[in-house]
Amino acid sequence: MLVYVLKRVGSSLLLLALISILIFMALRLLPGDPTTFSLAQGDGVSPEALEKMRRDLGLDQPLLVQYWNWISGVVVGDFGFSYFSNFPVSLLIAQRLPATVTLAGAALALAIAIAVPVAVVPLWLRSVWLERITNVFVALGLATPVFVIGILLVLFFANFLNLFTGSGYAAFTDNPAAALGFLVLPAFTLSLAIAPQLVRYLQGSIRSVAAATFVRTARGKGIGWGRTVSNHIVPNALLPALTSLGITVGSLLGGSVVVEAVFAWPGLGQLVVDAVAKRDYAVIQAIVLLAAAAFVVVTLIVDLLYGVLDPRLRVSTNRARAPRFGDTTITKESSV
Amino acid sequence: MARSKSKRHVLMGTLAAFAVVVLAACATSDGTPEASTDSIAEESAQNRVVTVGQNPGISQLNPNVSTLSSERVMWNLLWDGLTTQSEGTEVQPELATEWTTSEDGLTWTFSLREDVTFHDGRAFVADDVVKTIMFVLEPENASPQRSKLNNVVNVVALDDATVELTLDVATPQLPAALVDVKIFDVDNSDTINETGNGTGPFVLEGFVPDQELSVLPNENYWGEVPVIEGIKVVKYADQVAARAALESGTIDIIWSVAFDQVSSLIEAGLTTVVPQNPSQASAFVLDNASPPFDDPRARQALSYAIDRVTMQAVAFGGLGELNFGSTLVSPKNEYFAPDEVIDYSYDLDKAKELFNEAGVVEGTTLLCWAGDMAPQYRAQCEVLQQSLAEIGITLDIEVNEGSTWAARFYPAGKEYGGLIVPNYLSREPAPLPFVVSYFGVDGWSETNWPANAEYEDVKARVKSVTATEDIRSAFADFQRITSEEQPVVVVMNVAQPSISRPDLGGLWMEFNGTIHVEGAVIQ
Repeated sequence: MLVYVLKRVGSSLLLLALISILIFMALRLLPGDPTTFSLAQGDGVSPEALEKMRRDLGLDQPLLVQYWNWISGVVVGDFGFSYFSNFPVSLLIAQRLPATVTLAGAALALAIAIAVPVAVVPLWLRSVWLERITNVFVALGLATPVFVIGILLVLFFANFLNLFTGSGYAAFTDNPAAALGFLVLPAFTLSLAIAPQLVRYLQGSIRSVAAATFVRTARGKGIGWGRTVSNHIVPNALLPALTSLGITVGSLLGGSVVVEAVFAWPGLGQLVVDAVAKRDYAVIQAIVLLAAAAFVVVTLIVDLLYGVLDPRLRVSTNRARAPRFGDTTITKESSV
Repeated sequence: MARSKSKRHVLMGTLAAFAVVVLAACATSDGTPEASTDSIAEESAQNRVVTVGQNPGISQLNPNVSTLSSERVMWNLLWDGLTTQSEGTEVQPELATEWTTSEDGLTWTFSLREDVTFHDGRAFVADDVVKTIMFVLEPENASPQRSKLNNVVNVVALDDATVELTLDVATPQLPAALVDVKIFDVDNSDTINETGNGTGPFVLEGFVPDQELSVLPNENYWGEVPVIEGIKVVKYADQVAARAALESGTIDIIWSVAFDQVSSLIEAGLTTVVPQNPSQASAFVLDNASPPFDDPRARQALSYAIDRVTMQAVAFGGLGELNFGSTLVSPKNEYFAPDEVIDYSYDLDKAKELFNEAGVVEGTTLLCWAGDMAPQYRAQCEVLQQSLAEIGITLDIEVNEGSTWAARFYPAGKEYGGLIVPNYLSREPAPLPFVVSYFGVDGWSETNWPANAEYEDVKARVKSVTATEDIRSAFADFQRITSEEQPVVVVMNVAQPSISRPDLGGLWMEFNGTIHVEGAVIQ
């Protein structure tokens, strides 16, 4: 188990190192740099000013030096400064992180609350028609861009029904009621974007578990269908669906960028969109790396958790050395 | 029994979820449960925090290094200048009470207010003016205000309440040049984004870069203390989100509304805020130093090929003033000289003839290089594409995000021959002399136009003359030269409007698009 954990942690760190190189290089390949944005609307900016700006930002140094300066800071928790506000990137992230975590957490909870009944009820009722209807809505949900869902919800619930606030943000610590009012529509939008994926994973998992022999045995013993579903199929189907959590986190992060834009939600998504527009390298690099790290860590935790819950996976890494038909004979012969 | 207990849990959970949703729906933006219509009306009649929605946001607070027009909204909230501009474009005293100039016009003496303090309580003195102006003049600080003060060679504090500026060339419009130079705490400029320490009518309450700026009235302000409870400037991702927020009452003002949205917003009962004397111009920027637009005939041909009327209708929602003379002086400006400019009304025959003379023949392909910041850029390219197709010239269109767009032709000196760049230029209106500095020696125009000796002479005249007739004559020559040479091809003069809720008063906009909300009142 220790070897398995170490290998997974090592491969995760390697992956993060590769991502850091990739994002660093990709940004340098984009046309323009932070000085472009500063100059674009400034009157009479001199070549000396441009040179100084590039020097101050370290952009006059070789790429390898720039990368080393950045990554060596990241290792000790220093993500650098925004080229525009001069605020530490860690502060900018700290300012925005609560909003994104609130949104993503609420959306995930809502998505699970939507996905589980949608996947289970057709099976429970053994209704083919209900499953078909569900599939149509799932396909629709997968095909509809999240910003379209967001704008439609704003138009209907905020502008037409006047039920919720269309945009804005308040912290729960400052004003819980207002915070909830602001949260409902963006969280619902994001949940609608990820719930169809969860439904698909659950449906696939439920189908394979429903066909398992222990389900047949349970039915053969006279257990009712409802109890078979709730006590045997669903609990066993949730375990494989755990693996989708890593991918769901990726979708959450991607979707939150769009949802934050539609609802003026002051989270990391908006921060990174602004930073990309301005080529604020330090901010973009830090957020992308942290998002990748979140994705990798969740995947790692899920893998490890899965390994704990399903012992077969713990020994799977030793499969190459596991005795196989015919191998034993060779080993014996060679030992002789 | 177990099943009924489970059902009860499900039922209770459903009811709890419903209660949460109802509570959320009833919560207003300030967190209080939604009140009756009467109490809402009562609240709106009272003073409250005014919220401005805009895109892009405010990245930093130093008014003397600011480069984004969206940051200008905070200039008049947190800061004061020596001088200020009135709604009628007249220059008035602000931190300076009065000023005098020597007979040769080279020495200016400003008397300062003595009852002014910074937000941190420190007294404002002449040394603050000296340090601010020195900061602006330092080339490495990249201050956008520097180009207006490039004739200042020395600045000294004569005493705590008097400042003297020495110039190398007489500059009658120096007080106007100082309007945008906001006095700040230079010694503590490294903490400016945390303190916003100025002398303005509002003090900083909170600042999240590119997201939200909130300010409160400065109770110790030397002038009239603002009557509203505060101002928030909130960044919106796009026009659709901002409009939805305005219509639902979350924000009170949208700064810089897309042209195609304006008419429907007015129909919805909202109010526009536009400058009295707009100087902003929609123009096509060309590389005047590279083929084919290094030939003035090619630039003139392009000017004739622009269907300004269609462009106004399609790209600008019918707003603005068409500029057939194609110069940076608006036809509505009192110094506009119609007899000096060429009439570039839509004429494809002339365009074709001039293009041929310049070697731009049928089958040539050009590229319209648009930014995605404003929808009118693409629309302008499309109108031009149709016109040029009629004379056998292909115009490809590329739309890029802001930095990619700007990196192709900013700063001055870059080669981008064959590109036609729709842009939005904000230059000061005549008789302010700063527009002439855009071109020629010491100019920063990205058009790379090699201005001739005559232009430099006109530039010097525009900057130094004081009599109205002399100003008129100098500006007439400026228009004649730039209309002939077409360093930029101007389409029209149009101000990017802002929109406010009808119950807001006291808002106005400078000619360059800077919105003034410091005097906002709820009516």
